[in-house]
Amino acid sequence: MTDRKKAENVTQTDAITVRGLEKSYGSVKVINGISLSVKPGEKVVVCGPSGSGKSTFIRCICGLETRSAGDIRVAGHDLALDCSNIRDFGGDVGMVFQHFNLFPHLTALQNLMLAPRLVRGQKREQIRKSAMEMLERVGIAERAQYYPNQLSGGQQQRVAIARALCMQPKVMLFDEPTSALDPETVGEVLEVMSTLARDGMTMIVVTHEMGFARSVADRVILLDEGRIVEENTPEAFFEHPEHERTREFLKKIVHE
Amino acid sequence: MSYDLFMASIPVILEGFRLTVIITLAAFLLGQVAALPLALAAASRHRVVAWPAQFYIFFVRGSPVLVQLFIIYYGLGGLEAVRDSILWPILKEPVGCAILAVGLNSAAYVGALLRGAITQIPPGQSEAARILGLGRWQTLTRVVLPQAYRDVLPVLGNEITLVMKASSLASAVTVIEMTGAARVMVSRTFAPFEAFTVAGLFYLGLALIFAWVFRFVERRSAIPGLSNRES
Amino acid sequence: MIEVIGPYAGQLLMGLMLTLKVALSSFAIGLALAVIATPLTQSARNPLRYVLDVYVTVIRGIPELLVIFLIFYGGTVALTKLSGSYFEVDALSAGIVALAAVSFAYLVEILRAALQAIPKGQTEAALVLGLSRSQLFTRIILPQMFKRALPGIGNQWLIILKESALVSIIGLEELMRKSVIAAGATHHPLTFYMSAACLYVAVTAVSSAAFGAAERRLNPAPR
Repeated sequence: MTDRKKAENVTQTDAITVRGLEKSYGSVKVINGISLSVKPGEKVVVCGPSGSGKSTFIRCICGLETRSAGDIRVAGHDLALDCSNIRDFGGDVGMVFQHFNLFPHLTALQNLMLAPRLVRGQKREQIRKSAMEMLERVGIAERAQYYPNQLSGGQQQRVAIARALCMQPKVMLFDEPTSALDPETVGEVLEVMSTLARDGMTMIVVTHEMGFARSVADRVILLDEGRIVEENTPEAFFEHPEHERTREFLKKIVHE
Repeated sequence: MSYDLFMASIPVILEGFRLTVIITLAAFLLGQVAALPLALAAASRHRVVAWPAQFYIFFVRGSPVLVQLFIIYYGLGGLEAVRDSILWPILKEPVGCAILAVGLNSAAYVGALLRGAITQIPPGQSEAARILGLGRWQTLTRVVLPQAYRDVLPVLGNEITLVMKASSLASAVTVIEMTGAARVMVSRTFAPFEAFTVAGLFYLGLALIFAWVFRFVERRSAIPGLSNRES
Repeated sequence: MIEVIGPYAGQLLMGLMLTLKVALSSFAIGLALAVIATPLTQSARNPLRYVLDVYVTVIRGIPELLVIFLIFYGGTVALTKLSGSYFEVDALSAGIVALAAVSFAYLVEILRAALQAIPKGQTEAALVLGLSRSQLFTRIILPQMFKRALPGIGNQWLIILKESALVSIIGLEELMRKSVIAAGATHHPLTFYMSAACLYVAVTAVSSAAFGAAERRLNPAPR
């Protein structure tokens, strides 16, 4: 058993372990056998053409999508195939969505305070303090009393990041966090994510922002047709891609 | 129209006013309480739960309240099993039956409304709540329902007026609420216009009060910056 | 249970026919009046508009039963006084007039909303193309008004259908009244009221399906 584990390069201290992940929608195989290990503090960027399964992949990791086969271990929790034990995560896995998914009937501050109070039972004053600090951290403390629909897209996404951080996750997942934003606000969100990366957070980011990938990622992965096509350091990935499909993909990205 | 008969009708109608208000408020409340579990059941993924709920909504909305009232008052009252049950004290009273019939009827309409509002809340919200660690019940009560109820609030204001109008059916089972009182007055004086006009004015006044109350609640609970939510 | 209903089945169906007759008549009258009244009172400066608004507000705030009683009992009194000799309003006429008066109010609201939803640009385009006012109305405005109002109109039909049961209270022998008579004669209230309910549900279900199909035909889903 130990030899096998060594051979697969899995360590108990990995932040995220994915082994042989498969997922089908009916007869269509969306994820076709993906294995991945992410060490604590590592930043992995996942990119690929639309339909490659990258969104489904990251949603499988956080338990929002069930899977047909494969093991997933995130932040010390083994995720069941049908995601029935997603509650066990208790906020250890942070997820940032493309469309923010802020709760519109709560202010920014209330959005942040909701989960720590309900899930961890923390005291209101203590949560308020840490929530305000978190809003400071993402540069939006002065809008604490604003409702989501009174904020711009970039501001909402920063609140969403802060909300996930309030649960003190061990791992942060990002599903195309800037794809729904106006170009002017993309920068402020990437800034927050870069700072988060510098502070040592383990991150998987699905994105098209190649500049971000170059400066922040430890590894860049290309997904296509549900499989990992190429996996390498940013320099190697962008300067010396090994596979033809990677080269095609990079060419298309440059034209965008 | 005679002024004297008009004024004479007022105290008579007022006697029925109390029952109109009681039936309206009680039936509305019953409808609200029953509508939520009904809506949740109808929206459930489990067919065993959803189908009966959906059938109930379909049947109750497809038949007149009057028929439902008679089923409860005359129909159920004729059953041995009902007479021996704990519900009998309520069911043998025409007022109780009226409240039950109108309330259960309202529950079907509001239940359908709520179900629609609940299913239209973007699923991303529940996903975010789940990732943050909230359980199913917490997600429902803290994220989904606060928004769903805000969505249906304008229609609820209309619903209570409809419940008030349905309360007049109680007069068909001997209850002397306002419509019943007006009929009594008419049979005494043979002056229908005066009595029914007085009753009409009181109903309108009540409807106005309800409208005002609901507008107030809507304003207080509105999310700043959001005028009319779109799905 | 069949043995109980059996002899009265014919009666119930006769009642159903009368129910449909009452509902259709009052709905048709109400709709026709609404179609005429709504465009005429579009403009807020029109004094008739004010009268219509008050009328709609009143109808929306009082029970339909009250309207039925008012026309039935009040009609008898008023017409007797006016004609000099005893003139009794019959239940059928009273029912149709009352339900027409009620549905008229709600249909005006529905049609008005549908009318306001038509973009102003349509009128402008039509006038520029040279259409006359009446052509504009009949060819452009009216069809669109109906298309948008169809769900509301369909809903109002269902409401009128169910409200027709109220006319049984003033003695009209439609479905509800027939079931009351049968229940009284056989001492099987539950059987007959449930049967009546089932018949109403059947008619409303068929109506719903018909309107749904019509709506889908008028608003084909984008391909």
